[in-house]
Amino acid sequence: MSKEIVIDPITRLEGHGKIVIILDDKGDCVRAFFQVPEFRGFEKFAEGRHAEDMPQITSRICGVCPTAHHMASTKALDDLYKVDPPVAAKKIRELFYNLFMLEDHALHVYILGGPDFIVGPDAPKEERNVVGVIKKVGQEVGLKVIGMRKSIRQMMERIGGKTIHPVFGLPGGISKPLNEEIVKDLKALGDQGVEFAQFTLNVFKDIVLKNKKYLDLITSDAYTHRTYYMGLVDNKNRVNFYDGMLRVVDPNGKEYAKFDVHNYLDYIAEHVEPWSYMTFPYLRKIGWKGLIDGEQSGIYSVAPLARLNAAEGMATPLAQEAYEEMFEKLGKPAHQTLAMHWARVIEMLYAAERIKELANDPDILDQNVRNLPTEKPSVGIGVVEAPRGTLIHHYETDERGVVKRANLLVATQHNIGRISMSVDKAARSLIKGGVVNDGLLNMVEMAFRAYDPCNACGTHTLPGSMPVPIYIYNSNGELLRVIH
Amino acid sequence: MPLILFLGNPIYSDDRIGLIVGEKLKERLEAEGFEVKILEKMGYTLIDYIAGHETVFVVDSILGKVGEIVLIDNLEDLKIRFSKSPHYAGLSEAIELMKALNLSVPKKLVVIGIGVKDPYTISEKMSPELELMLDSIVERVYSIINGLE
Repeated sequence: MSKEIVIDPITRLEGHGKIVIILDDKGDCVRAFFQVPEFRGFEKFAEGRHAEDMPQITSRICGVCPTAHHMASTKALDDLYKVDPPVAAKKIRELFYNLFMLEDHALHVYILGGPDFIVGPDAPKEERNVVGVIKKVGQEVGLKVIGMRKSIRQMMERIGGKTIHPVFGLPGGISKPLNEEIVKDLKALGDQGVEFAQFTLNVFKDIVLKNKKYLDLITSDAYTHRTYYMGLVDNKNRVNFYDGMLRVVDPNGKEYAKFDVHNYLDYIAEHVEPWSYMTFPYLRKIGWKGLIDGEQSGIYSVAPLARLNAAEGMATPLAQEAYEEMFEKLGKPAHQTLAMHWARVIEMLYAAERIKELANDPDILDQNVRNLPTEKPSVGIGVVEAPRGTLIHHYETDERGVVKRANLLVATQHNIGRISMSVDKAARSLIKGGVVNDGLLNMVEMAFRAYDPCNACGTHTLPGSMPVPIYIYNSNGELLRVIH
Repeated sequence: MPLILFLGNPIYSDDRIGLIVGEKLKERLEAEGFEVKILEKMGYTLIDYIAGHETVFVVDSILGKVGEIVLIDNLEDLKIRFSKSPHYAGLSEAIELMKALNLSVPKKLVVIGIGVKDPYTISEKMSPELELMLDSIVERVYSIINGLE
C-alpha cells in the first residue's frame, strides 16, 4: 500500500506551498511534488489601472520583496514612456536597490535559510530558527545583524520615503535628489556594509565550509542538478542586479544566449503541469522535456547561484575574490543547489561594495533626477535581479497609459522546474524504508529553501511559528494519520 | 508612551482592516497620548518599532468569525492563534529574538485580532460583511486600547 505525505505549509517559505511525498510499499519515496498557488490574480488586478500606479501597487504583492517589484515596475514605465532617466537617477536607483539586496540577503542568510546550516540540518525543529542561530553565533553577532538591517531600512526610508513600499521610482527618474547629509551617511553605511558582509562571509566559512558534514551535504548528489542558468550581466558579463542583458549559460558553462529583456518571449516559454497551479518556464528553443536536467532539457534556474554561474565575474574586488574561491572549490558552473547560500553571501559582499562605490560617486549629488515623459505609451518591459532571481514586468497600455495587459514573471516561477526536481531528488535520496522523521523532512525542505522561494500570496511563515502538518494517505486516498 | 501598531496590506481585501481602523483612530489616540504607527510591515521588522516601549498594542486581521475581536496577551497564545494569520506569524518570534538579544521587551503586549474571512483575495475592497461592521469595530478597538473593557 503506498502512502502519501504532505508537508503543508512549508516553513520559512514566503507564501503558501506544500510538498507531497509518495511512498511505495517498502516505504521508499517514489515521487515528491512541490506545489504552489497561482500568482496570476495580480495581473488581472492590474488591468484597467494607470500604469504609473504600478510601482506602488506591485510593491504590495509581498512584504519581503517590495523593492524588487517597485524597481522592475519603474523600469517598465521608463520603457513604456520611452524616457531615459538622467545619470544621477540611474545611479541613485542602483544604490537604493543594492541597499535592498544587502538587507534582504542578510534576512535569508541569518533568519530564513541560515538556521539549516548555522544551527544544523538535523537539529531539533525548535532550535532551527533565528534564536538558535543567536545561541550558536553569539548575542553580539545577533545585535550586529539586527542593527545592520535597521540602519539599511532607515537609509532606504530617507531616500525612498518608505522602506517596504517605497515612493521612489517614477518614469524617467526618481522622486527627489540626494543631499550632502544623506550622501555622507551613505558613505559611512557603505563602509559598515562591506565590513558586515565580510564578517558574514567569515561566519559562513567558519561554520559551514570548515564543517565536513555540511560540505559533504552541499556537494552531495541529492542536492545537485545540471541545468541552464540565467542572470543579468553588465557589458563585461559581470553580475549586475539593476540593469544589463540577460545571459544564459548551458550546464557546461558555455554561453547559450544573451538577450535584451524586450526579447524574453523569444527565449522563454511556459509549460503547464496538471498537478501545479504555477506554470513552468523553459528555454523555448530547447523545449520542454519534462522535469529532467541536462543540456537536452529546457529547464533553467535563476537566483544567486544561477547569477554567478551565468556571469563571468563580479564587478567589485572583494566579491570577485570570493567568487573565484567558490568556483575553485565547486567547479564552474556550480550545480550544487545548497551552494546557493554561499553565492548569496558573495552577493552580499558585492551589494555592499557597490553601495560604497556609488555613495562615493559625485554624480549622485546632481540635482537633475528626472526627465519628463513626452511619448505616448504602448508597451513597457522592465527587468531587475530580485534577491530570488530575475524579475520581469511587462505592461501593455492604451494611449492614456491604462493597463490592458500585464505579465509579471517572478523568480520563483523561473525556478519552479528546478525546485520541483530538487525536492523530488532529495526526497527520493533521503526517505527510505518508511523512515520519515523531522530531520529528514527538514532536509527535503532544504532542497527548496535554498532558492528562497517567494510565492507572493501574503502568508509569511517564520522559523518555528508554523506547524508543519504531514498528512499520510493510503493508496485509496484515505487519511491514515496527521503528523505535526 | 504606549505604542499602537495598526498592521495590514491594502490590496489584500479584508487584510486592510487594521490599516483602516488605524486611519480612523490615529488622531483621537494621538491626542490622548498614544504613539500610533500604521504599518504595512511584519515579523522581525516590527522589532524596530517595539523595542524600548513598555506597552504595545498590535491591531491586525485574524482569520475567524467576521468582526469578532480576539485579544491575545501572551506569547504562547500568539503562536497558536496567529500561526495561520496572513502576515504576522513572526511577531512571537520577534519577541523571542528580542529576549535572546537582551533587547527591551514590552512589559505589556496585547494583540487585538479582528476576525476576517478573506485576507487573501487581491482587492482594494473589504468583504461587505466586514465593511458593515467597520464603525462598531473601530469603537470596540478604541475602548480596548483605552482600557474601557
